Amino acid sequence: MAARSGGAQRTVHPMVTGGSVCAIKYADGVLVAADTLAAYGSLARFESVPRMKAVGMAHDVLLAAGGDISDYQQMLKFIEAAAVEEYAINDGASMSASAMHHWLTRLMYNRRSKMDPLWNSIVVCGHRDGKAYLGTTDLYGTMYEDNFIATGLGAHMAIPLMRKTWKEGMTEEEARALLVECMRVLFYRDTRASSMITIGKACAEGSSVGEPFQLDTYWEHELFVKGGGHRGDGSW
Amino acid sequence: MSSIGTGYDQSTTTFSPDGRVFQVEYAMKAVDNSSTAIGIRCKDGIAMAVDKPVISKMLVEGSNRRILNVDKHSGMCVSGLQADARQIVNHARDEAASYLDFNGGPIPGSVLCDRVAGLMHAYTLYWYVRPFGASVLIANYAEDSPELYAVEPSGLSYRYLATAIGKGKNAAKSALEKLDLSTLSCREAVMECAKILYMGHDPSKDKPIELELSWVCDETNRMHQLVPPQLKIEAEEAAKAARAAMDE
Repeated sequence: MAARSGGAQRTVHPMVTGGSVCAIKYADGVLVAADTLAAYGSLARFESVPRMKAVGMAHDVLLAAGGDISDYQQMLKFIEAAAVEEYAINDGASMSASAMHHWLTRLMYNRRSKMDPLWNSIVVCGHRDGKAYLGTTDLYGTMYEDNFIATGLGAHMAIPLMRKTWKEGMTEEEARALLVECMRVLFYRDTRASSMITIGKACAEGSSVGEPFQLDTYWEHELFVKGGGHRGDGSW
Repeated sequence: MSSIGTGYDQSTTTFSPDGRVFQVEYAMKAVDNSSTAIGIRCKDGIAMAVDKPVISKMLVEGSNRRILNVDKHSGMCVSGLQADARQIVNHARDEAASYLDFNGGPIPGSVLCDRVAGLMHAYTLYWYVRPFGASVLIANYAEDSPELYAVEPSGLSYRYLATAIGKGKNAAKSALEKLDLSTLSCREAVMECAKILYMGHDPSKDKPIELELSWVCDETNRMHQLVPPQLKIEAEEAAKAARAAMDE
């Protein structure tokens, strides 16, 4: 290994990464979906890593992340420390999803300005005082709110589906179906996606993360079964 | 406390000829002049209580807290100079947070107590600082058992089944000795704490007081918190009734 030369060394590549996160607002709050794969490069290294968590002192904020898993875990520690501080102050206040989103954006922007970013795209969801909150921040500290959000390859492949299907006041079933469809398309096309999915929910009752489940997939297309061999040239 | 400092009481860095450090003893006096604080350890948790003199009718209820959260599983009850106590609590919070950051789990009571005691002891060693004029009770429910500690201005610390600090500590301690701590539940301990504090308070003679009651137990999911308002009312009613029965 070559000797390190001058200056501080920083992580410039993410190592173990998670893929896309998709989230949409619906009638009662927000639903988020992500798969449970943590990939080491192109290797499907860890297959059941949760990428979303109910956080904050009141556990009412749902944070989901793609990108470097260790950076995400570090972020969770920062959030937990802030939550303990709020608990100690004990004045009844706790960070809302909106407050946490803004704070995490400051964190992300500070880190990128030090040329040492937290290599994540995060999605922050919450529901408080009858209002749903859904926002995202990337590793540069760029933030926005929207009715539906997809990070990673999802920004290219899930967003068109959401634009087509999303409408104000969707029921939970409709919203779930849309998210599952997005995740299925991503699984078919994104080489770093897995078919094991978790869906999280932020609503008036608080935030929770559901049990992981397997996507239904279909591989029995005629040419998939027959293969391309019949053409004699190995093509599909 | 009959002997007089005779020149050896101005500094913590000089022993008196009979081997005492008077400044530390004076600091303990500051605690003995302050609110009584009680802690009881039960099988299922710890209850703590402190009485605060109401210094003004204009004061908002619940001001000048003497029971504070250190971590989710840990709390402190303080007696003595409040400003001094706050520094101790802040330090304890930092210790708890850094332990969690470093080790990934809640700080054990023994460690927290050691760190706090270390801080308080350090302030008895140098000419340019004075000892803390406060004692603290630490209630900690980490690992598998609830633990109660008390730390004095000297830096001495002990683990207790039940103890009291402050003005009425002697009367409180003898009342605590009468309790059967092996069977007491934390909920009952809260009631006992209130009773003991009210016993030491004569409404016709003493200034009005406000109680603070906290617990960390299985019932609170091992979170240290002030007892719910309903339980506090119940405890205070029972305590007043018990006091009235004593007077008759």
